[in-house]
Amino acid sequence: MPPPDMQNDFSNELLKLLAGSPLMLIAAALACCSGHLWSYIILSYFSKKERKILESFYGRISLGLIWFALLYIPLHLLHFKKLLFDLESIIQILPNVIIVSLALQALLFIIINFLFRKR
Amino acid sequence: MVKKRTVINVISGKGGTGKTLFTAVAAEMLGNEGASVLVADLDIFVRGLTALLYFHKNESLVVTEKHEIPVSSFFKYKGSLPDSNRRNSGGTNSKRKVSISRYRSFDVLPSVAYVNQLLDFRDMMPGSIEEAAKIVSSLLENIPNDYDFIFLDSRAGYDELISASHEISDFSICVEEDDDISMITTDNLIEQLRSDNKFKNLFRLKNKVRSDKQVTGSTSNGITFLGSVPFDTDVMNSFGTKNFWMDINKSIYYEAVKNIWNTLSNKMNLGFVLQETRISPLGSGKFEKKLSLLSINKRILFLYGSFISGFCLLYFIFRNKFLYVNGFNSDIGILLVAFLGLLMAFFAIFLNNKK
Repeated sequence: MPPPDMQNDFSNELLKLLAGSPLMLIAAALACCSGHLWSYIILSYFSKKERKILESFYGRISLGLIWFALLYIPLHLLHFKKLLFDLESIIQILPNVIIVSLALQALLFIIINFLFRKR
Repeated sequence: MVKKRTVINVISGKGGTGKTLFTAVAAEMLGNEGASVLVADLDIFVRGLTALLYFHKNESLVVTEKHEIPVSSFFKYKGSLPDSNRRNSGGTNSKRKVSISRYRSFDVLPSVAYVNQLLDFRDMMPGSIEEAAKIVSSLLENIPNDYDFIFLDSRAGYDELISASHEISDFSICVEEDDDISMITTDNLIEQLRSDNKFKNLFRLKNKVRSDKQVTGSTSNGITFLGSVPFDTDVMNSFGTKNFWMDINKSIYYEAVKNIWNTLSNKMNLGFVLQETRISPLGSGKFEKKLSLLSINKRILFLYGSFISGFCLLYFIFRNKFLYVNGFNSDIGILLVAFLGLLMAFFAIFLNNKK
């Protein structure tokens, strides 16, 4: 566990990042919603083992950010043709990432629901 | 040491209130969390619970074993178990035993031996409350003692059997719908039972409720409400299908039954509280109830569609450069995706449900 002053520095940087761009704030909110929906899908259709983690606020936002990150990497590569990340490039294609991830998540939800109802 | 079992009688003033479904779902929830539960189908003519066994046994018309007897036989033989053709070790004919079958996480004592069995009403029904009490007592005596809870799924309305089962059980739950006719029939039933059994515990619960009004703890006609179960499209659409139990586990109906049971458990010191909570896909159970006319899948699609179209429209209005990796025109691209999101949300609301 990092020392308290390091934790405070990290929190402050994170807050600066979120406050600096409305898009980041919206992305964080949508990551939370996306993570909530993923935790619903996992707990409803797969396993209820990690229920406490998945149902917590940090669990959900983490799931959402992981999902966004998974889709961010290929979109970044496709657009910038390189694996060098910086804040500006992230903000540039963040709207794409959000749209694609929400749409893909909806599609996956439909497929998972269909498969579970058929079996 | 004999385990103390709780006998719960589930009744209603009229048919179609959802009494049998409530009983089955409550039994399933209790069974899933480790309680030993039996549901006895006392409704020998309608046979709602027995029909569940029929489907569970791959549509086998026969739901009991040859030497076992269902509830209707108790009525026919007035509480005395007939001899079977089997001989016991002493050389005499052994008594038949009650037919108990496993259904998912709880046991069912079916009303009839085979689902399409024809019964003669004149043979079956008891002539007095005392005779009915003898039959129900005999039924309970012949059920093994190791159950935590025994639900008696009674028929609708009032008769000698309803009065007797109310007398013999630990308490009764009266299920009603959220309309004036159902309330009147429930009040009539309560008055009738009160005149027979003045001191027995009786509770009410409202089913298929479409409003937000909370009834938990309130009283009507002197009887406490345990709570209300919201109208849930998933239950309506899914009932009778093979996905029913998968769908109902995710529904607001399930959550409401859990809350009602926990209220009951606290009031009657039953010592068994249901723990499992349901995760709402919309993040708020209250908001979800407002969309209860949509199935849960449509609520989720409505949510996705709203997010996508809302985000795109907001970005269109407050945008910087919106760079598409494939180089589409950004304004058209944004509006197109917003439109698709709106389409998804409308699709969720307006597409008819198909069974």
